[in-house]
Amino acid sequence: MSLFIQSLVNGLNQGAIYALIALGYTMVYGIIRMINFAHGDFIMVGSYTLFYTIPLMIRAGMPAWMAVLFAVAVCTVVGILVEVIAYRPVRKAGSLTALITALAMSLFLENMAMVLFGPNPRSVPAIFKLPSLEFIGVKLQLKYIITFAIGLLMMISLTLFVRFTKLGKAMRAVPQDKQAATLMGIKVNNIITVTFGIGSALAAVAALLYCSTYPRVTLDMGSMMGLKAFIAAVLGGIGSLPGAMAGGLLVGLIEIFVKVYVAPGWYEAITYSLLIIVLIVRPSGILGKNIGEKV
Amino acid sequence: MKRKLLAFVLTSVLVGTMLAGCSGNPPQSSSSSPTAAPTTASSESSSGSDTSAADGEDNIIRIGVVGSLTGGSAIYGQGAQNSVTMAAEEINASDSPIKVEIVNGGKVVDDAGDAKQAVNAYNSLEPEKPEAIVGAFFSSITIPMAELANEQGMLLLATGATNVKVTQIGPTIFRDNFIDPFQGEMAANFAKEIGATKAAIVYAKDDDYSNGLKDAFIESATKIGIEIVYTGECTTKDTDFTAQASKVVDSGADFLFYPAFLDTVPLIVQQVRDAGFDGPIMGGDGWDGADTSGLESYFENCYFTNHYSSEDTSPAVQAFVTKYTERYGADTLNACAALYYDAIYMLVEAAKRGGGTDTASLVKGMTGMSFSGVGTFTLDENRNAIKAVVINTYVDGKVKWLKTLEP
Repeated sequence: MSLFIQSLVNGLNQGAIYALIALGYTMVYGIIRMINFAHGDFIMVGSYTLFYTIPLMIRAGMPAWMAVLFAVAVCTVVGILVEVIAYRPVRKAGSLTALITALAMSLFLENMAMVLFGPNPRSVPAIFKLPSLEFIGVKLQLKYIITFAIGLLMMISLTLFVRFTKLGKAMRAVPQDKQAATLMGIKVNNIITVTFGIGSALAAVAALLYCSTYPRVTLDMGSMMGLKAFIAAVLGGIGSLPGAMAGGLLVGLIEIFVKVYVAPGWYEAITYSLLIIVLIVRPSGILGKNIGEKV
Repeated sequence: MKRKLLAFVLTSVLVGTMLAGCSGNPPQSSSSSPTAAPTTASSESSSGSDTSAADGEDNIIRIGVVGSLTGGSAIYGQGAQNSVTMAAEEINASDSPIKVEIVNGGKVVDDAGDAKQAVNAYNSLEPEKPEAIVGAFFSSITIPMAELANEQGMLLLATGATNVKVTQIGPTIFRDNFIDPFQGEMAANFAKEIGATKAAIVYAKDDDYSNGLKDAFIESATKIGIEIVYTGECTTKDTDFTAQASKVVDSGADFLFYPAFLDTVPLIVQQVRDAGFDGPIMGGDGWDGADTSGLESYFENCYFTNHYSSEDTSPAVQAFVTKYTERYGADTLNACAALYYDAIYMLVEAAKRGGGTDTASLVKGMTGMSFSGVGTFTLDENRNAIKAVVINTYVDGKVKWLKTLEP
């Protein structure tokens, strides 16, 4: 029984990290209908920023997690640069071109990181120094609760932002009809840039929580994380923010439970099979809508 | 509809790459060797003739070196590059009648720590016409390379590949390190010595080294009365071990064996300790160079077997350690560096014994060789080095030599 609850806790923690990354995917997809495969690599960029800035924060006597401010700044800048330099010129060329450009950006970022940071994996210093609670033989680390709470908070505040602010309204208008949106006085390019900025800032927060649980930064961390989060986003219904959260938690839970109770070697195969089944049975995802706006 | 189609195509691409990633290694090597065979076979005959013609005069061994310069274990490749450069310079500056030339401009060819790239790395050396190839450190990379080397009659001197299969592939495959059955037995004996009765194992299923060492450990451990209470799988790419950690705790094990490579070691040690496991955690030579920063207290009561210890007081080891650290610092001074260093000297020794610097003479000279360098050992009839195992532990996150177990 305690193994079951422990697995539940572990699964929710891993799921919350996937969910945070999936939020970034789904956000960008919802606005410009483009799957940004470089999103995982924004997390890599954020993690390297954390690796270099956390020691500075500690030396300055500030809490380590404050380094996330630097990560947010760096990721936002990188995200906006990628959008302006790489994605904007090909935007009119169709979704397949955009997709391939995103894959190219992903490889570019990974290789540039190798030149800048070297090929060695790095260990990030401990971010949260928190105790763990223990009840009925289950260890619940407080950082898990923080991860989960931040994931939930991000999802809710993004949903509110998109639904109730003027900028959010503009964001929803852009995917419906770009031309009509332009006629209504919305600067489509600016909206898309802002969207990328927000998506990349989310990646920085995800990097913080990822590094607090798995304190290791590698060049290719983004591609694996990105894939899982992409699956989470599609499972939950790509374009839907609560869907990304649900999808992320689901993928995390499935992975942990398969590892514990079925066969550890099978967890990826089962996750991906689930994706195929969902796409066949319910292509719009668990919380996705087939018609109407997707944000 | 269009979007559905796009989603489907994307998914199949994703799933395709995943499946290729999971099960790709063995078919990868076997499928690529037939394609590689025709090209290599033709170049073999030409290289065979002109190297033997050239060799009578030059007394230079042309050596190709393969190592992991990038990827999760890049620190090994950097150590290899440094020590190979150092060994070659020393030999060429000495009065030795045999000189060496590291082909590819003195650079180690990168296998990226990835079995799929091993064949590419090996083939890229082909145009350089090496007379011997040194590498690699990982068993799963060395095995496909050894298959190619065997087809071509090329001498391959493995430097750290401990899986027992490596040298069984052919008579021109040698290694300057011990094999997993021996390493696993020593680890099991040590586990017994520190009071383990119920052992748990987590191993990387997609890696030949991890599988071999796991089997060796289980066999020896059960023989000496240690019960195996949990055997968990992971992959070399995993970052999350919380599921395996909770099972380790749940199984009531008092000892954990994790035969895998350095890059995931800090992750599993942290997650297993966080899950409430306080017992000893032990690994193999793949732990060498693992990053313990920030996890100093987690690494208390952790041990690993290794090829050599830089704290070894023997003059040969200390001479190597001093020379190396003066030039390159201690960060990349790992067992991999020592093994590549010895390998270059072994080839020179083989040329002297075999009476020539062509591949055939080197193979002849290598067979049954007794060698004394950083490591002191004899090659047995299976072309494996019979040498001592070092057991290391950690004190304040720093590797500390504990004992050396002679074979």
